[in-house]
Amino acid sequence: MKNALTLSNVSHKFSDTVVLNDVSLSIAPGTIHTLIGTTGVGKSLLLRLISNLTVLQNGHIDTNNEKISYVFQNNSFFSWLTIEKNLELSSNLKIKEMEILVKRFKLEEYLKMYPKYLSGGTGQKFNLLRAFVNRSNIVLMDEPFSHLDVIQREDLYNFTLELWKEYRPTILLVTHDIDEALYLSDKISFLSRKEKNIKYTLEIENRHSNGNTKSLVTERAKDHYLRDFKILYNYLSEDLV
Amino acid sequence: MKKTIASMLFFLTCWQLLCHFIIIDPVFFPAPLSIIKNTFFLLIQDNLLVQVFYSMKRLGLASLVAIPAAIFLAIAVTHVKNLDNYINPVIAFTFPLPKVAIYPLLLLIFGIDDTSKIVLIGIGIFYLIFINLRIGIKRLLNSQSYDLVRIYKLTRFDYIWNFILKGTQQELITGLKLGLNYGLTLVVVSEFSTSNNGIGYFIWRSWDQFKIINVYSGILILSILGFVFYFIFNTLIERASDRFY
Repeated sequence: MKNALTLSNVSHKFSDTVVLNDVSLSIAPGTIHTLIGTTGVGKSLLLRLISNLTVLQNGHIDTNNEKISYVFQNNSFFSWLTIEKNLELSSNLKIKEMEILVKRFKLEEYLKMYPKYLSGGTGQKFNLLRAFVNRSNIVLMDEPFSHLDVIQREDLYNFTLELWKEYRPTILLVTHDIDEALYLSDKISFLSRKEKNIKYTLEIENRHSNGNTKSLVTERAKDHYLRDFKILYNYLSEDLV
Repeated sequence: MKKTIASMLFFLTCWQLLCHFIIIDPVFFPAPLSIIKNTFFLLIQDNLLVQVFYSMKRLGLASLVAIPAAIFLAIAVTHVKNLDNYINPVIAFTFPLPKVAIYPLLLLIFGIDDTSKIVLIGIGIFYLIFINLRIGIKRLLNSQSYDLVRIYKLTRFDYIWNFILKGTQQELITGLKLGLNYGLTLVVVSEFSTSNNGIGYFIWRSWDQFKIINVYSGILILSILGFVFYFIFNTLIERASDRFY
């Protein structure tokens, strides 16, 4: 099967500082792939390069010309428009369809509100909704849960998985949170600060792609995947030294 | 608001008392109550309302041309590569020029009828809207909102209407507020010399005929118009900024 997203030898510099050096990565369609690494290793930059928000300097990125959605770190809406109008502009949904969808997730009371008045968690739910419902084949997620508390995060993880099960896009999630990566991913790639490259990719068995989502959303991944957790933790610790 | 009204009332009461006890000359400084009475009389019995209509017509026609032109050029310079490099120096060079200084030239080019006045008023309105909107669009294009536009690929209509114009509504309204107030000044100035109607003409003629109280009535009408503009645009700015992050 052709990969949904392929990065070949991607390198990037800011002035003389090398941020990414020869990064290559392939992601199978319909999977959740997480890129983990410490702050400032170029994870977000990689997403911006894939989505063409930043011009690619070296290497090749193949997205098969598929539609791409992007979930930003914080509430990213046109703050001068209501949530309803924001969704309408970025998805091709008719108002009626949107109302049904939003009702399903019990979010209808927020539709007429301006983004400023939404809580972090609710705002991020709408961000996720927007990214999935416009039927993009690739959803890029840039630390979308980093500013939320633990309880909100679990709620949002489940919300993400529910949407993903329905629309089945390929997700590339960027995070520095090991718990989050283990909870959501089929595969986790570790982006090294020292080598400015993907150093290690961990494949997690029996995950969402194989239909085994129930146990993940009901139990904490850390306990089930202690081995994976230790491996990743060691990599992150080493990278910081 | 209460403080504004209180301070205005205090000022007017002092003025009224100064006139009442003839501490200041009521011929040159008529009492506020007399001015208000006279203004009502002029509006109802005389043709002051017609003069207001002529002035507003000039301001309206000038706005009709200047506002779309300013919006169009502000969008163009922020979107067409290198255009800003050509336009901005011209704007920077001509903006500080008092617009009244070019009125004789406009009279020469467009004649002494309404066209020259409308062009003068239009130029004044144009600059303030253009300068404010250009800054607003530049801010917007450097914000994360622009990433959303690129990701979710808005239609051209949505891009101009829902992104550019609504996204820069604070700067646009500020430009309109400043532009229309300045436009009102230019209306009066242009009517002083080469007009036979309008508030400017009314004030000048009253001064010429030594009807000082009528001069004050003309000024009162202008103040009310200025205040109405100020109130409308300030309310709009406050409403708009309430929604922004």
